Parts: sequence; structure tokens; C-alpha cells
Amino acid sequence: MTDLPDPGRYPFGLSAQQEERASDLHRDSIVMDLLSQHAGSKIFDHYPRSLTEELSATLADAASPMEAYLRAVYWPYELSEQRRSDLILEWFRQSGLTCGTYGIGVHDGTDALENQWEATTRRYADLPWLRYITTATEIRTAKREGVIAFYAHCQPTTPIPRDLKCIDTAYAKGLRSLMLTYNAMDHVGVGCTERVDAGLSNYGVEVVKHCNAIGMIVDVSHCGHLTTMDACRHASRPVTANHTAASSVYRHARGKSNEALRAIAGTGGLIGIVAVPAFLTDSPEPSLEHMLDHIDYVAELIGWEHVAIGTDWPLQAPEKLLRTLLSPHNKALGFRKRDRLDVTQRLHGFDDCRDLPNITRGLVKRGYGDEQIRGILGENALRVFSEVCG
Amino acid sequence: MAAGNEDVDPVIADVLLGADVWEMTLPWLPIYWDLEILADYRRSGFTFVSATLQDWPPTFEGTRQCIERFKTIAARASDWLTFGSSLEEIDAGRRQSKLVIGLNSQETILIGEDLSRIEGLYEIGIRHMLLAYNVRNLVADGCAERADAGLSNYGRQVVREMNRVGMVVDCAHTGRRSSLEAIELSSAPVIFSHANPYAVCPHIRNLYDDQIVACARGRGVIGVVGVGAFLGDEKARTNTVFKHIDYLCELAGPEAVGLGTDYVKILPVARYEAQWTAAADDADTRSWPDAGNAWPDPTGKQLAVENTRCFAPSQLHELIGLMQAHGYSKANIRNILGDNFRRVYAMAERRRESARSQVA
Repeated sequence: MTDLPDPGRYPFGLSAQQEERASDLHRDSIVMDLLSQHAGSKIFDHYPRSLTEELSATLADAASPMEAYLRAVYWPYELSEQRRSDLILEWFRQSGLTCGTYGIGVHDGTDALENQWEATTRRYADLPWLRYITTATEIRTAKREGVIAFYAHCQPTTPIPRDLKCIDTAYAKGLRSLMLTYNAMDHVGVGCTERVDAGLSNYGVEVVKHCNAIGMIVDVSHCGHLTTMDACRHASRPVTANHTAASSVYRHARGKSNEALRAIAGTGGLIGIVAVPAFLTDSPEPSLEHMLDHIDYVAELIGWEHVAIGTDWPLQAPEKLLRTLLSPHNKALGFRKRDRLDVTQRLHGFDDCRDLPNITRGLVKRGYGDEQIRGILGENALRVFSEVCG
Repeated sequence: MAAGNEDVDPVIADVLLGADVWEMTLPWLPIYWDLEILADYRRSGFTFVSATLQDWPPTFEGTRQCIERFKTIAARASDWLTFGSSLEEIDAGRRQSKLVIGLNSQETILIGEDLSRIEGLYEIGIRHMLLAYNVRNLVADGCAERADAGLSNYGRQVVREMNRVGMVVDCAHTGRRSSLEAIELSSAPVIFSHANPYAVCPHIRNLYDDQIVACARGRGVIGVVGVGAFLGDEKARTNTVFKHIDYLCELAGPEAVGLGTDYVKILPVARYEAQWTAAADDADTRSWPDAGNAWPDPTGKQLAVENTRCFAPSQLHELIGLMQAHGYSKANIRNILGDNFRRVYAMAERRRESARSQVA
């Protein structure tokens, strides 16, 4: 698209007064992205050529598509650490983000890629403007002190090992939100792109109870329907689907049914709405309006107190890498043709993290009150985080 | 016919003469290794034993090593004991009056997400593989699971690949819906190498009538298991084993029945407690669910495995006698003793041949 609005300036047609209100709200609120993908893929177009050439060499050198992807994800942080470019910090500042998430695995130490992911994560713990946190209080403190907070969430593309102690190990490393399955069936539960739908396994029930006992958020974003329902049934603390959509608005495996949305709300939990076009709409011109449609629907169905943001998008890697390397990876991740996941597609109005203010502006446009907007932007998530993790 | 059986009833001896007598499951953890047990099998008239020779929970490399280790031990008895996986090898062993040891795997977790490992397992001699052992995995649901899931997308690929390779799909220990789906999907007969009818003994390990009927319709075979807990008879009496056989014959026909006794010589296991503990310490138990997950008792009426004994090879003659007394024909008795499972092996081998000729 050539007619992109400036970041954070999606043409909602707000009055000057509304713009001011949105701007104040966004600035003063705790803004949480429950499944952040960092700054997004566009950031790579904004570095000087000398740096991007260096990146190309690094990526070409990677052993696998996933390794190249991870190198790309952490490259902007690496530049900041080396004091060569603070572009990612500038973008985060512009986004108004208070707290995002990063991925670590729950594993038994044998998965090389997971280990690498963690090693990379640890390296950036030294960045002065970035803080890894494990409690709700720390999120408020980060906001006050003007640093960007991140907490760890796990998407188990490698299934959670058959040993609860591995969850304790991950918890000790900072993990506070654990998704039960990825897209496929495993020994915990059944994922949402499986041909079969079934509840949690015996072990899966134990995983839920264990997470509740140690203060880990149970997440069901990629879980199938019956596994989602089972998790809610067995949980004694709030359950989240931190990056999903409403399947009544647009039918997609990654969306949740009304029944599932109600069950999650029944635990006191949260629905984080994604900015992934394929999960929201089949419109040829997907835009932020589609994301807002899902927010409206879920808020109407189960109450705005249970709505949050979990963009999961756009992925932070150069577009060429996404197209050539990661797209074929979708199949291995359990996405089918019919799931129509295009890793390079973006919502008009949500091109990168600097468009987070557009969500606030959209909520203003759609008539939400201040308390509701603060809730959706972060206070709802903070409530759940505080309730489960302290 | 093995030596030293002069006192065998001539009618029973006639049934056994030249017969294929197959034991479809012998759990053969290193702590059970005792050549005397295999000698018992041979003395009783068995010609083939499908052994589970793997670490637990099983790994690809651990399975390979376990097989190699036992082969070294078995070499000491090469005058009466041999390994054989193809029908050609199995027949050759029988002609030499040797007991033939074949191989199975009681899990699919050892292939991980790598379908090519099925061919790898075939190459080291494994000819039937359980889709799941009691608990859910990436492929199928287990029989102990609370939620009865079908085959996963990946599980369907596994079944197709097993068909192509010529590995027999085995649904013992597998969940009901997963087993029914595997039978429906498979282009070759699917077996339950060791399981009993639930109607005779309600137990998580046993089969509902629909599983039995579906298996038989696909020309598969159910091996009656001799563990007292699954028989509903702590003493594992021959008559009880016969009741299970008779029920299966009535429901599914004598061409769908075989033997997979799952023989463990010394039960109660308590007597082996020290060894069990040592084995557990030895094994990679970190990645295995606890016993409560794998062996739940939803009815509260199951006998505990460790408190029951097993049908022993030496009870075979009595079992044949009971079948004769109940009017089973010699042909049907031979079907049950081994010809039925042999047929499944033959069909899998043909399936492999045709897949290979298509590639060529």
C-alpha cells in the first residue's frame, strides 16, 4: 500500500477533542500487549543500508529458518546494546507500550532451539531501557520509571514435557504465562487446527492444577474447543486466551466460540484480541476496524473487563525472510491451507508497534468510556496478572 | 516339536505338530531377561514370541541398544533360540525347531515427529507398534485417558506410513476412538496384540465390542492377554482365558483371535520390588507421567496388576484341551494359536512389496 497514514494516525475521523482525549488516555494508561512481536517487520526498512547489509549476512549464515528468524527478532536489540542504533527503543516510545511479552520454552533442556531462544533473551537483560518483570507491581513501576517491561509467555511449539518439574524450572526463569498446546494434539491437550476435538489429557488436568498452584497463568490461545472448555473447568484461577479472536465474527480455527469466550470470562479471565489479519477477516482489505469489530463483539458478549490486546503481529523479521523462510514453516507449525495464514499480511492501521495508539483512538471512536479503554489497554490484564502471579 | 514332551496328550500333540504358535506380546524389560522363560515357551510348543525390547519410556536409540544387548545374551542359546522378523526367517526358525524372537514397540513416542524413523524401526526388526501406551501422545489417545480423542493429523500420517512400510498397526493400550479411526484409515489389518473384551472383564485396558467387531472386519486379530487384572481373575486360570477367547470367537469369529499373553513370570511384582525400584531409578522417569495417570481405575473395581499372576506358557496344553472340549475344530485352534497373526504379517509384507514395486 502506498497511501499508508503516518504511524498512529489511522483516519478514524476523530474530532480534535477526541484526538486529545485519545492521546491523553494512551499516554497515561498502562498499555499491555499480551503477545507482542516487538516492533514489527517494518523496522528493518528504517535502518541505514550499511546495517541491513550486515543483517543479511547474519541471516544467510543461519542453520535453519527458525534460527534466522530468531536472529532477526533480536537484531534490533543487539544494535541497541552495542550502542549502534536505538531505533527499536524510539519505536517502543512512540508506541506507548508499557508491557509486552517475550517467548521462552518449557522444556527439559534437550531442545537446542529453545535453549538458544532463552540464551538470546538473557543477553538483552542488560539493556537499560528494558526490564523483565514477574509481578504486576513491577509493571506499574516500569510505567512510572519510563522503561519498557516484558514478561515471559510460552507457546509450546515443542510440547510441555511430561514432567511438572519442568514447569517449575521455567517459572524460576521468569515464565508467568503458559499456553497448554500449540496447534496440534500433544500429551497435554488438543490444538485448534486438529481434525479431532477432545479435552485435556489426564496429564493436562495436572498441568492446569499445577500452574494454578504455583501462580502461572494458564493460557488457551491455540487450544481446541474442548481443551479450552476443560482448562476453564479445572482452573481455580483466571484463564486467558491472550491472542485470539471471536469465531462468531469471523469463523477461523484460531478464534473462540461464544461458549468458550463465556467459559474464559467465567474464570475471571481475559481475551486478548490479535492484529493478525487471517484470524480476523477474509476481507481483501483487512484493517484495524476488523480488530475493533472483534473487540466490540467480545466486550458486548462477556463484558469489557475481560477484553485485552494481544497483537501477535506483525512478526519482527524482514519481509523477505518472512516470505521465503517462515511461510513454508507454517505447515510444520500446524497451520493448514484453509487457515490462510499469510505472515507478511498486515492490518491497515496496524503496521507496526507505533500504531498501538490507533487502538486507543479506535476505542474512542467506538464510544468506549475512559475506564473501559484503560481496562482494555492494560488494567484488565494487570488485574489478572496480579491475581495469578502477584 | 520341542523335545521332552513324551507325556503330551496325543490329540494336543497333533494340533501342535508343525503348527505356528505365536505369542504376540512378551514384555522383555532387562529385569525380566531369563532364558529359562524362553525355554518354557519352547517346551510348551510356542514357535514365535514377539518381544518388547526397549528402554522405558522408549527412545529410538535406547530401543536399538536394548535389542543389541539381548541379542548378545540370546547368542548363548543359538542352538534353540533365534531372531526373526520376516515370515521367511520365522519359518526357517520353526523348521529348525528353534524358538523365534520377533520384535515390537509399545509406543510411538520414540519416532518423535520424524516419520522416517518408522522405516528405521522396521529395519531393526520391529514389525508391530502400539500407537499409544495408556496416555496421550502426538499420534493418538491412550486407553487410560479421560477424554477420548481420535487420531491427530500427525497420527493419520503415522498410520499411512506404517502401512507403506509394512509395519502392523497395533492398537493395544490405545484409546477407543483412536483405535476405531486407525482401523478405518488403515489399508492393512490392524491388531490388538494384547487386550481382552471389556464385556467379560471391565478394565481400562480392555476392548469394547465395537472395537472388536471393527478389528475383525478389517481382517485384524485380537491377542488375548493373560494378565490376571485384565482377565478379571487374579489366578489367571486357563478356564478364564478360554472364556475371553470364546467371547471373542462368538462376537468376531475364530479368524480374529490370537494370543498375546503379556507374560511376566513373577507376579505379584512386589517380589521384584527391589529390582523395580532400581529400574525406575535407572530409567528416564523425568519425562513420564506418574502411575496415577497411566493406570487410573475409573470403576474402582479393577484388580491391581501387581496383585495378580499371569497365564503361563505351560498352561497352553490345557487351553488347547479346553478349546477341543468345546468343539473348536483343529483348523480354528491353529488359527487362534498362530495362523491368524501369521496372516496379518503376510498381508503387511505383501503391502510393503507392492509399495516398493510402485516406487520402482
